[in-house]
Amino acid sequence: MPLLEVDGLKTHFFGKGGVTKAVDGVSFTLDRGEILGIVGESGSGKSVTSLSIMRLVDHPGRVVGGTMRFEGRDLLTLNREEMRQLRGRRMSMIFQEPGTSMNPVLTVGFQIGEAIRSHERVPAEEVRRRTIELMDMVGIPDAKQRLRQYPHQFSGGMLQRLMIAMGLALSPSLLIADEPVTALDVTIQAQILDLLKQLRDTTDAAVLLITHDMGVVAETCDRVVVMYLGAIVEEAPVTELFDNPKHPYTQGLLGSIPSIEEKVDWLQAIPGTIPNPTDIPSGCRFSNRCPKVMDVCHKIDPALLTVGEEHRVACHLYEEQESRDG
Amino acid sequence: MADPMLQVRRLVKQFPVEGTRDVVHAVTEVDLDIRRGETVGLVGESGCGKTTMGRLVLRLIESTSGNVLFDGQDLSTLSGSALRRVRSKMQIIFQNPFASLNPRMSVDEILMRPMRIHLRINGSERSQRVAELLEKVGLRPEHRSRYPHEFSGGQRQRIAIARALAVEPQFLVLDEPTSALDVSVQAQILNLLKRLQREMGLTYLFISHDLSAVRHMSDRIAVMYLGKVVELADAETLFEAPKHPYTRALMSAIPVTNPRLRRERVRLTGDIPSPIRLPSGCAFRTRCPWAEKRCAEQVPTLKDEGGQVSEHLVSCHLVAAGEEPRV
Ligand SMILES: Nc1ncnc2c1ncn2[C@@H]1O[C@H](COP(=O)(O)OP(=O)(O)OP(=O)(O)O)[C@@H](O)[C@H]1O
Ligand SMILES: Nc1ncnc2c1ncn2[C@@H]1O[C@H](COP(=O)(O)OP(=O)(O)OP(=O)(O)O)[C@@H](O)[C@H]1O
Ligand code: SF4
Ligand code: SF4
Ligand SMILES: [Mg+2]
Ligand SMILES: [Mg+2]
Repeated sequence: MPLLEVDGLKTHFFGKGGVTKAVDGVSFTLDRGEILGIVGESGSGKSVTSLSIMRLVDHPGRVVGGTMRFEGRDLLTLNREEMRQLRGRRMSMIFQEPGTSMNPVLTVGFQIGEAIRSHERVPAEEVRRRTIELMDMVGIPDAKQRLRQYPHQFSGGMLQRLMIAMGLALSPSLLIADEPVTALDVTIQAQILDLLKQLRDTTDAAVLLITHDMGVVAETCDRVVVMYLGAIVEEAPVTELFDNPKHPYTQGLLGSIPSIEEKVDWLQAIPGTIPNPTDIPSGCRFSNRCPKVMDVCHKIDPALLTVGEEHRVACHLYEEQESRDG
Repeated sequence: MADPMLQVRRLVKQFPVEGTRDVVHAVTEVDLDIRRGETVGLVGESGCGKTTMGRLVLRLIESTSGNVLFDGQDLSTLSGSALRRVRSKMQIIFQNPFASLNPRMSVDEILMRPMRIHLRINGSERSQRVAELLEKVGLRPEHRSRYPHEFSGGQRQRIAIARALAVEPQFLVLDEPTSALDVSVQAQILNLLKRLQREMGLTYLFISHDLSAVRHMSDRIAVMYLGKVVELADAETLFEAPKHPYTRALMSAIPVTNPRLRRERVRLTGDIPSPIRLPSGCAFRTRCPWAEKRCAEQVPTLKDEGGQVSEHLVSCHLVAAGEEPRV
């Protein structure tokens, strides 16, 4: 049984301007000891997917469909207290916005301590010791002194690392990390990714790693899910995805990375912008930007098809292939 | 130096640490010139002082000592309307768009406000300009009536970029402008920033930890370590022939976008020093693979190690003495 099973998840926001289908039928599984990457354009629903799993979607948003099973339990049937027990102890999340998810008027030491205290009775001295240990682990020097400082006294990358320290505080079995290394330079980034791998290796935890850095994906993830406008458009093991990207969006994504080897004048960007999720194009959701669009794409929403070992793609280009193979 | 727009001289910033007499040494005696129309990349470890540099340069915070000259004018001597005038020519795009956008203002208001303060154009011209700005940064017209919380992370950074451009600045500090964006949008934004630079003759200080983005954008690159510039060279040279051991470590830690080439990134071992108690001598010595006795005794200074053609400044005793170990 997988650790986490998300099936047909739909999370919508009911605003004045209509219904925003931020997550519109997303299914994936995550095994113990696995690092699954979620990549996709800004606004494609990556954060809302993870907030849904944590049951932290706020009004006017709501999970309107699908199921999520974690360690065999149906998350949508748990009450507030049961959910609180799970969060922090069994599953924890590193939020995308480190600055806003810390309380500006409390010292960082107190807040990391809170994460430890909230689920366990621990003597104050022990809390302090572990707080310092966690800060050391994520590479904040002089922890003893700096735990008395407030969030605004730290740099962006340091706040991000403090959030990671809080996420790791209770060795969860599922860690959701939403862009955990975006504000970090490469040497610290390598160190943080090591920590995630270490957590996985020593406790068999699963990690859901949301990132837009394809270098980080290539280096860290076992499997990758590509999202576009609230849906999964491709899913594959990491080497397969980089060797053999199938979906035109994934191809565009991989093509737009600036190269470290050669300098080009202009980067290859995918033209246009992601449409508003209140107004998803009919047929294929990528059809208004796709360089390979066909007539059928405007009419029929392509289903996720299996096109190789553990490789699924939602695109009409591969329909024949599937019927041939299967 | 040809036509420097911005001159930074022996700039220092120290932050007090509450309840003690200690200070955080965020920026230590930095000299840096930025020429009109160029992009200088600023890279370095998290917490090394990049954002603080950006803020000092715009005088958003006061320096402890040292000077910043914009178009030959010392910012610290300006006040009132003279300061405001210079400031409207300089804008910053922050690392964190969440904190910098007022949650109670619609996008329309966010973009209109700086125009009202700094530009002499009428209401309908402003409105027209908002529409143009939104299109430039890849947002849709209907977005103008929405509020920041209704946008995803990347969309909010586009709003911040549009706001910075609203007052027709000459110089922009870009503090990790694309770190919240996915690569395909990053590509659009970097292209956009480049295009705007060519069209409007903008000058950029581009702060980023994403080395491939820095290489793509920058003419010259300054590498900072613990509050100091340790190496400065044109982008090509810095990537092809880095000299400072920290820059070398940085280059070897770049992740490869190919899972088949997963490799052990070079880890810097040794203690990450505290900006509160700077190591004696060279600040990098606690992690430097080459460190020797003299490194603890003398503070190295930036020296030109380049050939005839271009400047290549490096701050390292061994490089200065031509004694780098072969690797
Ligand atoms: N509180 C909210 N109210 C209304 N719409 C929302 C809310 N939160 C998110 N959305 C919308 O849901 C969609 C998905 O947003 P989400 O934050 O999940 O994107 P993302 O993939 O995480 O993007 P990014 O890479 O920029 O972080 C977006 O269109 C966003 O505008
Ligand atoms: N307002 C402040 N009060 C106290 N210390 C501060 C303040 N602002 C910054 N610092 C400290 O100054 C040092 C430099 O911070 P700065 O934000 O400039 O780093 P940075 O290079 O931008 O890092 P990052 O890449 O993580 O954004 C850090 O040690 C930080 O904690
Ligand atoms: S289904 Fe059609 S529009 Fe959609 S990605 Fe495939 S080819 Fe492009
Ligand atoms: S001066 Fe010494 S410690 Fe500093 S970088 Fe050079 S060799 Fe390393
Ligand atoms: Mg997000
Ligand atoms: Mg910064």
